[in-house]
Amino acid sequence: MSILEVKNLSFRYRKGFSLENISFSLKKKDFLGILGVSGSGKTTLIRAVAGLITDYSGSISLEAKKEKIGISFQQPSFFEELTVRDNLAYFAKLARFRREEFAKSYSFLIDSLGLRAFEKRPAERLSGGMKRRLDIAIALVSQPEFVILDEPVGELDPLLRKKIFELIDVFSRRGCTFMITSHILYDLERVCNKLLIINQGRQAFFGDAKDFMEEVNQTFKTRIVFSDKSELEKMKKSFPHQKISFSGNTASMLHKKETKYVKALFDFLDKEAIKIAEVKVSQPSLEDMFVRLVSKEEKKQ
Amino acid sequence: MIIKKNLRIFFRNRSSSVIMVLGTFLVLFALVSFFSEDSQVVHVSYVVNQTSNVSDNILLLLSGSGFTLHNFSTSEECISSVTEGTSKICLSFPDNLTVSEDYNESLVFYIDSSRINVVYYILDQVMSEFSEYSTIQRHRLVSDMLTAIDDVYAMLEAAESQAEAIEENFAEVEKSLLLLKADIAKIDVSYPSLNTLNLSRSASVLITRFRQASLNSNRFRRLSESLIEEMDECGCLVNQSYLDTLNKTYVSHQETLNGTEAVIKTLSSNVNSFTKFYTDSTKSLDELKKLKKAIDSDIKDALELVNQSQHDLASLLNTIKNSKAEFDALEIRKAERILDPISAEIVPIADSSRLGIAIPSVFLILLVFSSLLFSSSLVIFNRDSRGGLRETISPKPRGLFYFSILASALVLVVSQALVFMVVVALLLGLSLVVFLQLALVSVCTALFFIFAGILIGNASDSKEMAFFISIVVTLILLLLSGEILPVEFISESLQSAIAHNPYEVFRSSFYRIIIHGEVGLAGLFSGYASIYIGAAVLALFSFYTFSTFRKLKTSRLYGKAKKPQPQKKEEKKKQNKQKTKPRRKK
Repeated sequence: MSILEVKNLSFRYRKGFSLENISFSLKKKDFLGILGVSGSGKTTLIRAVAGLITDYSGSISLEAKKEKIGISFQQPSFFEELTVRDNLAYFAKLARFRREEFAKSYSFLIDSLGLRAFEKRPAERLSGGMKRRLDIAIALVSQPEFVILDEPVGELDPLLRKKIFELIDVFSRRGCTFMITSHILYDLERVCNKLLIINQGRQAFFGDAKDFMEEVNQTFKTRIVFSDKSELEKMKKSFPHQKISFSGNTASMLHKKETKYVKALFDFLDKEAIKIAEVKVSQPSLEDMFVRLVSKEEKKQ
Repeated sequence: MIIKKNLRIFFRNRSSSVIMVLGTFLVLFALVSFFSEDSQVVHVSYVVNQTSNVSDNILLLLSGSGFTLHNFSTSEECISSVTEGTSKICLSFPDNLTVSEDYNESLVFYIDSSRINVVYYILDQVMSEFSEYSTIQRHRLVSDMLTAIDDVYAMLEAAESQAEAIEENFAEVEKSLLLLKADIAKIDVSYPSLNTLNLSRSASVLITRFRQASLNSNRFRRLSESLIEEMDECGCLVNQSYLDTLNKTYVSHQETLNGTEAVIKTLSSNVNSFTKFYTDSTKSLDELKKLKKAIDSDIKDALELVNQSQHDLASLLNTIKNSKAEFDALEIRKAERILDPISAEIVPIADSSRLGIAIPSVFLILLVFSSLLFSSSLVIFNRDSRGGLRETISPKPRGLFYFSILASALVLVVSQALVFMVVVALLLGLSLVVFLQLALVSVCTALFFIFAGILIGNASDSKEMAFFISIVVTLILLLLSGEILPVEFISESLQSAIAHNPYEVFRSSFYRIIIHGEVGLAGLFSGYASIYIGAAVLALFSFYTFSTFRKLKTSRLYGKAKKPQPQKKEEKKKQNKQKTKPRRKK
């Protein structure tokens, strides 16, 4: 049974940016990673699911009680004047969380996130990293069933990122459904079972994270640096280069392992004796994957 | 460049810039529309139990000078109208107010010294009318007095000539009397001494003797007759004894006659003397007759003069009486009464110090600003805070946050007010009942303006915008309350709105409590009907805007949504088929 079902979600900001036809669904205990570059529409989607945007078209069905939804926004959201403890206590109370359970949950969270030493400090006097941690703690303090985390580890150091993902993993194992946004694929790789990729407000991919990662793992990015631009032009003149992107005297392409196209290219270069300065084969970046996914989708359409 | 940057920061968005400009225009508009008319309606209460020409004239004068007069049957009601703010002055006319010397009652002006600016303005106007009336009276009195003096002068001139005539008459009388005196002196009242006793004795002796002689003669005659008869009858000799007796009688008779002769001689002598006296007396009487005639004439003349003088005196007396009457007819003869023909007295309704007078206004302004600013700031703080963002998506109902802001602002304002009230109570020595009433009205005031503050907070984009709106709102309320300028300056058409101005209604309550020490809930909340309605409307609007605007404005933290663009009919139909409303478990 779906805990969240989004159908044809479209929304348009005044400034022109929009979300277009986003559709996906999540089951209980699912861990959705929303992937996209900055400004792709991840936060807008989060806002729509959180109920902060209502004038969208399409539908969002969230089968969770309000008090069982924990949210951490992209920017830390709490009362700066209150102390760490007071903020946690206040928002736990708003979520109708029992006092006895709060004590337990509170201790666990501030210990896990290393906030014990700062529990009596006003939030405005915390560092950026600590504020981020406090915000995550607020999202989790009332033991939610559905958690939305918008860029939870965006500006944190690797050690802290690890710490937070460990904490998230604990809640995930308890049966909590997560929805996390990030622009770093490998952050999500470890925890997500579902993945939604948004590019410029459009859904580029939704499916099992494993499938996507498999595809990523099977995809390679080959960069060929020509000795000079005339050599590149020679290649361009005689070889069908629709799958190749060019930048300066460099040509790059994404491809599966041992594809005919790549083999044909190298055969052609060899045959025409086009001078190559360097060839690099690497894992594709997320942006590369977007481009690939989008072009695939366009082809389909 | 820096200034430009600062201005841009200040006018962050269009709405705040528009409000800043509009607010200024709104205040200007209020100022022009409130105070554009030169005509003014000044309400004056009065009480007059027994009217007189003077009181009627004063009232007529006031009525003709644009004052709106309200008649009350008792002084208490009249004073209440001032304390309730219906009018600013209560005129208490004494019974049968007249302009006269022995009338010592004063016209009493009951004023509310707490509204000193208005009161003195009105008092000045009323007093100028009153002074005008007094001047007319003074002119009349002085004119009457001068006329009386002129009349008396003319009368005195007439009296002077009359007195001169009397003087002349009296001189004539004096002359006549002197003549009379001389005439009287001329009268000789001496007369010769007459021995009337001797004359009388002689006369009586003469008579007695003459009687004896007569008797003796008679006896002699009878004896003689008897003798003769007897002698005749008897032809006898005459008895000797008889003859002796006869002889003796005859001798006696002879002696008597001799005596009578002497007496007659004396009497004759006396008669001669008397005749002489009589002759003298007759002469004197003739002279006296002559004198009498002269005296009669003199007396007649003197009487005539006296009559004339009496007449003149009566005339003079009449003149004097008339002069006195003329003076008596003057209403006032005392200089101070002529200068101040109607005395007036100014009596403040409540005996309050300057501090006591200042406190209600200051306290109310503090309450209004605190309520507006605390509540609007709380709304903006909660809305603009990222913590507030979490509140909007929390399971708690929106009403809870609304009431929490209401309660928080109320706690803040009431705490502040409580400190103020305690100090005021100690300074002015307010009783516990008055203190509690003050607290009750303070809570009502705070609640009303907190509702307004929440509304302002919801409508404002920033704290400075809320602050500016609060100032504009308060300024308009102040302008329409008579706190800055007297209510009487406000256009007549807008004066009825003053009764519905919450600031004025609350101010009236504060004045009644602090200055007049009014006890009783009915009096305390009189004129609150518009407040109840206003509070209900504000509460509804503030709640509505709180629940709708808050979410909208909070969502601005993440940008502003664009209205869905019109879609083609076919697309719309398709979408409507697909669209299902979001379901959320509650």
